[in-house]
Amino acid sequence: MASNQKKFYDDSSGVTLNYDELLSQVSNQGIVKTAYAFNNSLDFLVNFIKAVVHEIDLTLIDPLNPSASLNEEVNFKSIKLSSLEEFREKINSSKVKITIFTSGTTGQPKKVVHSMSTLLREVRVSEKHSDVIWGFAYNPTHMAGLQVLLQAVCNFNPLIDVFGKGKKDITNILRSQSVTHISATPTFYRLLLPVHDPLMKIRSVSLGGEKSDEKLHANIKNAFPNARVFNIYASTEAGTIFSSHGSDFKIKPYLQSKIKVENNELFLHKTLTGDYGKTDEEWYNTGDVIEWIDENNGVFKFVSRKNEMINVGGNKVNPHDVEEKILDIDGIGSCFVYGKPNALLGNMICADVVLTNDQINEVDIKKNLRGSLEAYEIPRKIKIVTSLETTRTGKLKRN
Amino acid sequence: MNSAILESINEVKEGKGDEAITSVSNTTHLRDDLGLDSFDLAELTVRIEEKTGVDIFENGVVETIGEIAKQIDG
Repeated sequence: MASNQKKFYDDSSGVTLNYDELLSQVSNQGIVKTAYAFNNSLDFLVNFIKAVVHEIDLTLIDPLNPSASLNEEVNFKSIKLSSLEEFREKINSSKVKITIFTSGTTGQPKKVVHSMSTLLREVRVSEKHSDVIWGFAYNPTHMAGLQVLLQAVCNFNPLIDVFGKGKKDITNILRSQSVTHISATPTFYRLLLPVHDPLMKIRSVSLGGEKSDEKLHANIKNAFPNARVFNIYASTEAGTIFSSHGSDFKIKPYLQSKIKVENNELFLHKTLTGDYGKTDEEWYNTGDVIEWIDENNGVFKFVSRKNEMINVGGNKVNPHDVEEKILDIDGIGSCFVYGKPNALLGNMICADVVLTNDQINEVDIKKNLRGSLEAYEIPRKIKIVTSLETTRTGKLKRN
Repeated sequence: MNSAILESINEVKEGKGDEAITSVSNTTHLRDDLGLDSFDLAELTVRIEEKTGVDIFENGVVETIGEIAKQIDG
């Protein structure tokens, strides 16, 4: 099979595209939608690649965050791309600016503008990646999805779409399409595992976006016995920064001068991040607290967030923002928002509220919050209590 | 059919502003038939556990009403 006959995308329900077809779509004149809300995955991916190759600045919008919906289109002229290598070179040298949004910790998602240098920093191209088949399990409007997309495209690997599919479909697809590599959030694996029969062809499993646990790692080992397992630390602001095989991360030599730790908090130099609107800041504070394992050799592990963000299936929720919105509702006296550990999502948002008006109930409160909070920020369980107790250290205690 | 299951599903649905459903069967699929996403499933497990004391995800992910019933009935 000639290399450009290779598959680029397959959604396992009839929508496929080969690399030669991708090349012709990208090189023949066409249009780029410059503010693209994610709907159909293949169109979205092709639009992204066209924008990169033709250097047409692009904003990627998650429909959950419809904060910048625009319908602009930019025409591009035909170019000659005679080989996949030439196509890859176009991606590598592109001066495009890609705008993405954080998942919105303060209600209003934060915008970050990236150049290809941040997006490609951890992309590895080599002969040993040539037979990789990716299970594409991320929403492509966010950093992790873009990283998988670029890793695949730069090695001319197929992307097998499993995003948003059910457990049975995913395992069937991973098997029938002989997927070798998969990168996803711990929540994705928690929903998928355990499986009946181990998936022997999976060679690499990556986890990122939230904390994983030992039970999950054991399930992953059982389900994918031939896989190397990676933990990945990446952020919307900076892309992928660290990866490791366990909970210990090592700072690579080329990053040593670009990473600093103060009071156990991790800072990234601005040359590592995209433009997130604070150009005067030399260092970006990740808000992540680390603990040195071997400081001289740059080995550490992540301990927690400095702030109290609650991770719900990879989405970060600030409990104080949720409390503020609940307190805006008439008839609420006080409230306490917290994450309840949950096997599926890591945490589930819950709230205890004290009412000043007995007429309102849980459903009313949720209905009220729907307009002002993201779906994942709305407490799933709201308990009506008579008072909120505090401990001597000032922490709220549940009745 | 354990009434706690239907009751819990409707609590989840009402919380999202969806209409309540009147019946389910053992083959009803939580995701495909009832449109429950992972956030809804997480909430459902908590609500069922409160009513029955059973963690329906204890032995892995369940996908149908019948699988929930089996977990509850032991």
